[in-house]
Amino acid sequence: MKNSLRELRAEKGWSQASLGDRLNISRQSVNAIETGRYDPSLPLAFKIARLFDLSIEDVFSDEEAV
Amino acid sequence: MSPKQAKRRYCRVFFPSMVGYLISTFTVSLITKRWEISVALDITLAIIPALFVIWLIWGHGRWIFETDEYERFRQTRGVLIAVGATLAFTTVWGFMEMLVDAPKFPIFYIIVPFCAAYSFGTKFGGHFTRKGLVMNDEDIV
Repeated sequence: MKNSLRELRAEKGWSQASLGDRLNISRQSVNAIETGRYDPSLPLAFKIARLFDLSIEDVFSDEEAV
Repeated sequence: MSPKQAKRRYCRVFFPSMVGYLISTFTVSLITKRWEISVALDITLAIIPALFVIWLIWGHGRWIFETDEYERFRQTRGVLIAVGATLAFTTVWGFMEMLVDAPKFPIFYIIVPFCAAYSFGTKFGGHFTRKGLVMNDEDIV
């Protein structure tokens, strides 16, 4: 799964720790999601999308479907 | 609960339980070596250090449940790798004890290889599971 979390975070000027605090997850978790080492659960993916006022598809894309 | 709060709660169990374990282990071994005590008291004293370890295991389990999902995923993967490694080790050692007279491995010390494998699995587990073990669509018949 690919995602644009790093770009979205950079647009807001947030650090990984700051985004983690907003999502109630650790900085390491933010890093793992951004680098593609971890695909978040559906509830967390919704939470991320809602935080940026986007839909899940705007944040995450299925590599195999592309 | 945030991962930081969960970690703080875990630390509030980790440090006192470890201190309690060390103190109780030394005290209990001193008492049982120096004085003649009844079997009932002996059993009670032997259980005290174990209770601190059980407290720590409970605190660790609670932390896994309370932390965020990525950390929970890493810890769960580490536990699975540790269980596999421990079972493999005990099976091999068991056969060696039966067939080649290898020295008896005290069950008490099994926590040592388990924790070593757990740490290894948490740190490097991703290298084994990301590729190779992940099922592809073609694998599903």
